[in-house]
Amino acid sequence: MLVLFGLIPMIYGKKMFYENDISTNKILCHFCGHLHEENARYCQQCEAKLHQRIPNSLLLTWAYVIAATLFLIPANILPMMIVTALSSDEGSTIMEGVIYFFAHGDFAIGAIIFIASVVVPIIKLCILYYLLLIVHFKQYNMAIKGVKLFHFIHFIGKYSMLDIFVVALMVSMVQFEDLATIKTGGAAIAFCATVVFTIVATQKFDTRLMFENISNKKKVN
Amino acid sequence: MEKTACRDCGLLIDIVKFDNSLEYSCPRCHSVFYRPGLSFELVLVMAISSLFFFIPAIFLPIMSITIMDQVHSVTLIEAVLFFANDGYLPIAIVAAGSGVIIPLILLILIIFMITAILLGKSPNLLRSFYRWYEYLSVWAMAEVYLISIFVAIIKLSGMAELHLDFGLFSFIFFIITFYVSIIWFNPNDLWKKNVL
Repeated sequence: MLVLFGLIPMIYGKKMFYENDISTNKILCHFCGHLHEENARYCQQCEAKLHQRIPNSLLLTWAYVIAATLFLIPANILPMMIVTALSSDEGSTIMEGVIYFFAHGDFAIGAIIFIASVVVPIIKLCILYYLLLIVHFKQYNMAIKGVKLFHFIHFIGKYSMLDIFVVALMVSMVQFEDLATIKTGGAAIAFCATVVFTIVATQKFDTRLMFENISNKKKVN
Repeated sequence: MEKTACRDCGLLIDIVKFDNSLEYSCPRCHSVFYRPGLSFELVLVMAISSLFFFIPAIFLPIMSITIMDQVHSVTLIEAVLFFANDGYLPIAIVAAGSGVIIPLILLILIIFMITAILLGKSPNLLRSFYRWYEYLSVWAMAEVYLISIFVAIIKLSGMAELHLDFGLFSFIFFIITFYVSIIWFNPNDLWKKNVL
């Protein structure tokens, strides 16, 4: 099926040597996957700006991840929505919403909300910290596992927006002046910021940094 | 695409004989770097039908609620823009963008790119469309919106009488056709058919 060539690693001592784009002085277009010579600045195929690695990848990822972690605190403490029914205000946080579903016997919906708005953001941030620590502590044997985790968070990332949309629908639907109104709570904006920042952080993280020093030797003629 | 490098680990890869009906993955990190897509005509048909479902989905109300003879209904875009009423304009922009507007933009970009390829015109515009497509494809969250509509239905049905409207059904069809066209469409094939 797959005929791949030229990647047979040279076995030198007990280390394996791989050729990557930096060691062979090439630049890969991150959009279309076209390979260029080192001095190229724009991609021939799609005219995207070329970088060997995403510029300031680690710095920006750290910044966005820390910002997302900080926003996660108010997102869980402040109320997500404020229900005003018969002139009595009542706020409900994310966890209270989950507990409401479990108390009423809707275990499936409760589990969906719990996974989407509590488990997913925390797992995403944990994995991002793990990936950043792999780069910083040069744990190259973890790198392949790290790429798999990266694909995983890339896939699940958007599902934590679920709670924002639920709040949007609840707030816009329940607008009955005298009987009941729902207002957006302060947690919504913090939670939205967490989700957006984690997505931007995954965009900015360059997984190739994890593989950087696995003896990417220059080609020996 | 005979000589390339893995996007996820940087390994240099030589493909001896490239066949665009096969899936190619990196031998070191096993991440897929080429995924075969279906023919552009099929994708175009799917994308146009998806666009037709989008129009009723955005203009018709998705559901209406009745409490003590007061009826209140809401459309897709009204629901997310309601955050602006409560003074949370940033969430309104993010939610409306990711739930409704960016999927629509992606759809229009797909239609434009494929028609440009099939007519063999304007490669410069095609390139910028391609880059926009790649930038925005991360932010399309229409299916998350659909799941949240189901969650909201279950939440609201406990409170009051709920009536589902045609907007919701056309939104479901929109999402099915939209994701089929996204999955079938492989933007990397744009460069093979067209000699730029």
